[in-house]
Amino acid sequence: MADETRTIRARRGLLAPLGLYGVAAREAALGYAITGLVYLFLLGFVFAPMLLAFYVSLTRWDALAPLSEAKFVGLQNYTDLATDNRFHWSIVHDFEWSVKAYIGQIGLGLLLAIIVTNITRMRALARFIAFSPFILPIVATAIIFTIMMDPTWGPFNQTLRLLGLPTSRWLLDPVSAMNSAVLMIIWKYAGYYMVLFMTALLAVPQEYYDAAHIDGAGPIQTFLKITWPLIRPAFLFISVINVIGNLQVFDSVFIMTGGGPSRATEVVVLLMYNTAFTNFRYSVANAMAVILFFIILALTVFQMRVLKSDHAG
Amino acid sequence: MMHLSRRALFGSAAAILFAACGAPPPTQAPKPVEPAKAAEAAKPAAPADAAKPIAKAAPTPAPTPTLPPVFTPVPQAPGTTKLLMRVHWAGSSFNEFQKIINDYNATQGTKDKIYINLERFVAGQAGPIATFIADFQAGTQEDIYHLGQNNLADLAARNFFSAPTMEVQNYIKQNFLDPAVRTGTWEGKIMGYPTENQPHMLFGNTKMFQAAGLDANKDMPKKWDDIRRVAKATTKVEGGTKTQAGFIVHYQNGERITVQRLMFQFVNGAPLVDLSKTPPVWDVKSDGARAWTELMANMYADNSLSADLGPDTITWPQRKGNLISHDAFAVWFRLVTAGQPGILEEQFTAPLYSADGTKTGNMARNYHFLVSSKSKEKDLSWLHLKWMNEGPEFRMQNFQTHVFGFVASVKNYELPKFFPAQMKTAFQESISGPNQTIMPVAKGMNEVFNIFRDNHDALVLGKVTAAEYTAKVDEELKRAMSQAYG
Repeated sequence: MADETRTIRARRGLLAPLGLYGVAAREAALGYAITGLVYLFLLGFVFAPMLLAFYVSLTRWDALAPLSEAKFVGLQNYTDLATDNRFHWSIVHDFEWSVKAYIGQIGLGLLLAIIVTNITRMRALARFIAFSPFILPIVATAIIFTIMMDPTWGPFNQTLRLLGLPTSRWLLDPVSAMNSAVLMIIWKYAGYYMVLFMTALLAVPQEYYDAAHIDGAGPIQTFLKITWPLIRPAFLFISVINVIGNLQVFDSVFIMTGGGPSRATEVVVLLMYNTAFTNFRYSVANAMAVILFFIILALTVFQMRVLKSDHAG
Repeated sequence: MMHLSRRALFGSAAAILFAACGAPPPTQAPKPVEPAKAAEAAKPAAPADAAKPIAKAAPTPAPTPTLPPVFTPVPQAPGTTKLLMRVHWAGSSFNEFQKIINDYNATQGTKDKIYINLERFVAGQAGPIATFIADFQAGTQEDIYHLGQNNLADLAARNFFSAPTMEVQNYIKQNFLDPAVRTGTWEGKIMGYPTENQPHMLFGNTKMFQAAGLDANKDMPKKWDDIRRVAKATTKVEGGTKTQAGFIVHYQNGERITVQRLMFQFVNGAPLVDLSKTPPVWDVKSDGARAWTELMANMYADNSLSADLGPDTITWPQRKGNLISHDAFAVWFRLVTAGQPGILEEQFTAPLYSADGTKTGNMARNYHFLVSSKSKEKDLSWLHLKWMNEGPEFRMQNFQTHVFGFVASVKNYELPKFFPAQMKTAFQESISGPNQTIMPVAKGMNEVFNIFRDNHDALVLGKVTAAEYTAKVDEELKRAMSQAYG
């Protein structure tokens, strides 16, 4: 009897204990195989390096000797960073960058999305114009902006002079460098966020707006009572990816200012890069990466809690 | 009304775009050039021609620009061992070097049983290091490195390189300039062939001198007070906006700033670094060092500095500044290839002097050919480098001098032909004098550059005082050395 049961189970397949038989079992097996590959990839190329980075952050290692020769120093790298002013400033710069970029990219993206969804003529053209900066490579965009922001012959100052307005030293002045670089990143990504918001806005049923209109709601009331609650899930996603991306900023700052002038734009990832590859303090750079990871994780959890609880309420 | 379908619209747009872009590129790779022809073609165009002013309103049509031939690698001969060499040059410079490698691979290489596979790596300040580390760890490193001395100590201390035989070391010692050899020496061993030299000189624009009622022949500054005076006199402000700076600073460039300070402190009898101690002691607090910092702060107060006009890569070749101290390579890269017509001939060249204008000197700063400690073919690598670097041909020196315009690291070698006569004399006198220093071979140099860059930028923008600069740089240098040697 027991043998028969085993034979029947074997015929039914490995997924029979999960209640999956025949075609369903084959489909499930295929699904597990595909997702399993993805998880294997993530394990090998994301989670394992993350764990390795955490381990390296507890050692003293210059990346040139074999990892087996790394000296375990416990939390030494973290305590060093706790008293490192330059690292503290890089976090401040990271937050400054992220807050300014967040407001600019999401604010402008939402505004553009509202405008574009409400216009009836040439909507596609408007959408294309707003989205096109996103298509450009970040390196090319950063170089173009660096040229345009040249204080002497750059088109920005030339235009300001023509209009009789005061000029700026843009990227060359510690006071204006951060804002100038952020300006580029807002210009580049506002169209991308516009598209994301448009997707959410277009999903709001027109009947709700019609009903609100009949009830005499104004544009602000309509936005706050109908649009906002319905696009909030999309806003949560947009907000999370924006914060993650901006706190990890590197390429645009590396190209436009190199962290200068006078470290005014030195953000965490840039300092991390220099610490690892110019100073051979690979372990310290890994400790910075771990700290940044937890900062981003905390902010992501915070955003999800705030925005989700608002949504629930 | 004509109806235009989307397909027709996109099709037309694609056709227009295709027509606008011209014919498609040839799919066939250019044929390798025969070595003999390659060597002939290797003669660089006369740089002086490139610097001649363009004739005004020329009625004849502009000649059709022709691209230089692309030198694809010659095929590997059977029975040869492949060695990997990586360099940081791009574009035409890489192309010119490929010609030399082709020449070797097709002639001497077949006798040596060596085939050199030339590649390039991207070189930012930390770029090579990141690449070197990754390749070294992965075992995909090059056999032959071409590396500046800035990273030599950090890498040599981690057993990155394999020193040549004593025979090669002795040859290098006898035939190359002593300071250029010292920049490639680690723990008493000469690690490789110096490939060029970068003495540092003071340049002034004769036309800007004239416009200010000065004569560069007589008024080129020696004393540091004179630098300040000439800088002030040759600064131009139009409508409240500075259009020309009397003194060009190496804004946002840590290496240049460090070299400049090293040189001025050296001739002023206040060495920037003492390498006899471990870790090396950097000194920006001595009277001689403070004098240079104060000069910078004073020139900022005079509004004579170029920081607000942009980096020197723009201000110098675009005639937005007068005096600048710079390495020899800049004559070719900043003035000839990136500058305005005639800018080279406008330069007056002088050595750097001490604050009181009585002492002078110069320095060596250069690249070396080195062999990886992980190379499986060290002997073959040195054999190839012997062909490349030793006399009577001195092929590398010839390439560096006549393609890039570098001053030579080989003893008694000629200066670049395109140097104007006055420039040649000034360089020759300065590098043959007794008072010569070197770019330090010390660990943590890239961080040292960053420290000088960040604080110098603040100083020349008036964000910190000379005293604040000194205190901060001193503290940060101590910390950097402690970390590099800790």
